[in-house]
Amino acid sequence: MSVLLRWFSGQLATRTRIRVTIVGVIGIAILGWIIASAVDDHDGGLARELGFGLSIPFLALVFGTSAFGDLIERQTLIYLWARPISRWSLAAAATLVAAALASVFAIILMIVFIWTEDLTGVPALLLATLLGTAAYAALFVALGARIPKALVWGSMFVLIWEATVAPQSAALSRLSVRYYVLSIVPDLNDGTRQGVSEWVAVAVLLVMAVGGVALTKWALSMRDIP
Amino acid sequence: MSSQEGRVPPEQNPVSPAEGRGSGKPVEWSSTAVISIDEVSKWFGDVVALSEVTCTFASGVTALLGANGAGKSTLFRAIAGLSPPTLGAVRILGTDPRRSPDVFAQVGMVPQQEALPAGMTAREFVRSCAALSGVANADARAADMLGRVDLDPTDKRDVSTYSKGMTQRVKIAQALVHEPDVVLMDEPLNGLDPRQRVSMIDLIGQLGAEGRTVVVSSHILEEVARLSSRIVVLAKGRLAAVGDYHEIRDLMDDRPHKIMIMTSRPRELAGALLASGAVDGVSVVPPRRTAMLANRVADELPAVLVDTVTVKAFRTQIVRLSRDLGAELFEVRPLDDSLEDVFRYLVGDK
Repeated sequence: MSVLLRWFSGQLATRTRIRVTIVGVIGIAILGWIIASAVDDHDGGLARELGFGLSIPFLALVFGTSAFGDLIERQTLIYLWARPISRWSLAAAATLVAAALASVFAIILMIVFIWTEDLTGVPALLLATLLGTAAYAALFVALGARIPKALVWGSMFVLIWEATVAPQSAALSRLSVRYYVLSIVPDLNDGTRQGVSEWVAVAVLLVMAVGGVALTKWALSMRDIP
Repeated sequence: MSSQEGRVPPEQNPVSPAEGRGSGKPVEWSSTAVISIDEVSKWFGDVVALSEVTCTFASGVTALLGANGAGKSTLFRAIAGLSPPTLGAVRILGTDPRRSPDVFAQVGMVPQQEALPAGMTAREFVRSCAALSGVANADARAADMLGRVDLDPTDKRDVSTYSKGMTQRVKIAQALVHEPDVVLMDEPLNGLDPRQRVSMIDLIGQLGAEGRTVVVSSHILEEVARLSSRIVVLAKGRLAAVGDYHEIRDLMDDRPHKIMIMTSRPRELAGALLASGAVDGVSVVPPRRTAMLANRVADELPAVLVDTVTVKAFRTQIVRLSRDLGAELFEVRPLDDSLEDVFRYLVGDK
């Protein structure tokens, strides 16, 4: 497993991707600081909208869709496929690495927002960040293993479903990842909807992460290896 | 490489013209078949890439041949578990490679594509492949294998920056680093210079001689002929022939063998051969044409050119007749039993 983790780390943590991500994270942090400076009443909106609503899903998207997407596009997946490795291990290793890399940047950003908005409940915020990143990453790894241009489709999922459609009703919001992430930190809820209990939210996010790995395993077994 | 248990000596190789569906005879599954292709068909939309292909591969080197679009790559990908067949089954060592990745501990693959993972040296890449295949001393094996394909194990360059020839050798190193029993090679000689090709052909021959099952897909027939006489030929998605190409040529009784005879008494021998009934056609060709047929600069004598479907009877008769006539036989040369000729006949390219 350690060789697999190193393999995916090497393929995902390319200089270009890391540099672009660092620039993006710095940009969002600066934007957050500017917004915070202009607003007197800090209610956790930065963490909720810029953090959980935008940064976490997009960080997971960048690393998640590339985990298999890049290997498929570059036609190098064959070197992992033609080895005595279970497809479960392949899916789990890719998800783990994508989630870990995305989490590093997500936590840095979240710390910036916590400091900027002087938020309390730091452990819950960090737990929500980790679990949210893992759930999104698992789903996006599966997406990258299944369809081409997963980055585009994933962006549409985040912007249209997660950010726009799902929040329109209580029933629909329960079908979004964001709903359960925010349920872990009830202080961030904006009052328009009630989340589930923290433990249920944690359990659902863990199920999503494991489900994403299962989806990835299924996607790999269904596809032709280029 | 050391031999391992479960390998079958090449002389026991069961592949023969009788085994393929193309022979028109029922297939009898051999217990020594390492790779079994059973009624495999593959469609891409409305396009039938493979149609009911049945054959087996055993130890030794077998060449997978076919013109562009014949289904060669599709069959290769099905064998390697990269693309599942629409119908039928593929088994390597009795296992479906698509469902049981464990079988890849005994399979090495040289894919056709040139890309290698970026961000690794050749040694790191081959070492990772070895470790993923469960090789204990992965680093030492990687260095050894890179040396065997004439690459420097201490090279610090990113493997993705390698030239085509170097990339090809890295691909071969990663395929062999875990000493697999089964080696699948898709165009393994692509990108290699002539010296490297000779070296690689020797290596492939050695793998076959060690009892490994080596399947080589190639479109360069001259090189395939040097690799192996055993072939699997696909034409338009169907199996055209399986077996030793010399034997296959002998079985083609609808295509007379062309044989050139250099003798001291060409006209007399030509007449005697025709009278004996051992040949279907005979002609005496002038020295200039003889030289061209024999691929020589010049010839001084005319030659006898014979068409015959009964090669065995011809061989008996030519000796007897030349002795009876007191004619010296300088050379008896088949003109159309090369792999290229057999392939051309099989795929219908006149």
